[in-house]
Amino acid sequence: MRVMKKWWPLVAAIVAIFLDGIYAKALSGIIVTGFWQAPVMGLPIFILLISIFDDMNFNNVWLALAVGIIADSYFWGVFGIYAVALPLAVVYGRYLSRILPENFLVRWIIVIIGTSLIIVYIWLIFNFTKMAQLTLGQLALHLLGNLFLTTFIFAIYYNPTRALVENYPFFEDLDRYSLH
Amino acid sequence: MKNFFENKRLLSIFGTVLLVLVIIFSSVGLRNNRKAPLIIQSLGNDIVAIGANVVNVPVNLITGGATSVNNLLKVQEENDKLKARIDELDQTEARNSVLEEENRQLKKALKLDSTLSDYTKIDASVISRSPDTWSDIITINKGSASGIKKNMAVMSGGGVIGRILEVNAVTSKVELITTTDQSANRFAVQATTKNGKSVHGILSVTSSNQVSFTQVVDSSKLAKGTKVYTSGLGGITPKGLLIGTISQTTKDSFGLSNVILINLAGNINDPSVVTVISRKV
Repeated sequence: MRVMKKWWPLVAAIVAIFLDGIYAKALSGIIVTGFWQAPVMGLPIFILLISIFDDMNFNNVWLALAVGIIADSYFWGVFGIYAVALPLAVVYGRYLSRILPENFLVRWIIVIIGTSLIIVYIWLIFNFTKMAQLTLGQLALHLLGNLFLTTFIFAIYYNPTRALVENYPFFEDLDRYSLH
Repeated sequence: MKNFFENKRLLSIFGTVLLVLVIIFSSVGLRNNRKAPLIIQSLGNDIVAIGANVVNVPVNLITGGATSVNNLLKVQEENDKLKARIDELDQTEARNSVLEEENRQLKKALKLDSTLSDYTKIDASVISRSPDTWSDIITINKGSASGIKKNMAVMSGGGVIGRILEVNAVTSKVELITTTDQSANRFAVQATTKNGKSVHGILSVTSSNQVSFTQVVDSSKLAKGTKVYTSGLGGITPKGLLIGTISQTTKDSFGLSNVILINLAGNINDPSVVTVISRKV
């Protein structure tokens, strides 16, 4: 179990992948065809929170890359969506967390902007590769819906992610820094 | 131009963007053209899906409970509707068995082993959906081990809802019929006019994300409420699977051809259980 300590964030990120797929399936009647259309951004929110709480750990970029590849393969069968967006999200989160105040509200704003940028990136990729034909109106609707759904998921993931990262940072052995 | 090539940072950013685009386009091409994904990708998908199945159990208990409560509230209304239909049921069953026997005898006489309408069914559960809500992809818990192949039709709630997009060993991805993916494999469909003539066409999605019956030669005699079925002429999907009913006939943006909108019969919004159709011929 001591060996597993370095890998808990990866396990938690994979669970976040499962939950995103399950929530998207369970909420599809509301978020796909309903008025409040919004993507489920649980995994990007989790990765952004990790990068904010553990901004000194560069290993989180590799975590984001690995999880992004797994998520791309599982959800779309196409690589380059989360595999690109999540590592960039880590870089973005690390940079902003160092220069901005460390409180709940600022972190919420960072996550909202981060997830919005990811949605815009996905919109661009889908249109460019013709995987979907999407209008600016659909993008705007998703950004609006994202505001609410991301806030909800952010509030749920905030404290557990902080506790996870403070006790089990990714690929870092905290026992090396103990006195005995 | 010289400054661009001398600027290493700019060059590396440009190179990275180019590499990302190459990876994305090649993986889209691989997904669309290969019969099955790469072995490592398939293995990864199956392992993640097994984990998703475990996490799905408590979630299904909760959503199942909510659905049961909802069903209880509607039971009186449904009971009344069913009572009204029960008299027709016996007659329909009797007629059905006569037609089946007649069909069997005719096939025997013509020495027909199987036709375009013969198929087998594989039931599966939906375990996940793509989180972006644009790509219209769901994941089911059956794969090549259960006989599923790429491009097989998938039904739920009494109508066709999509096609198999990617097949792994124990899971598969289904691309819904409402997808706007331009490389998606479209269904060949048909409908019958009031005077008994069959009208053929292709199913597609309009710019306002509505499913429509297109490339129809003569649509003027297709009335509202006419049922649209698969024609079996596409080569993979059997004949006779219900797509939906015609809701409206309008003109396209140029005013030159008809756009026939369809109300889908299948459960697109929240399919929990699906049936994959495997054609025999």
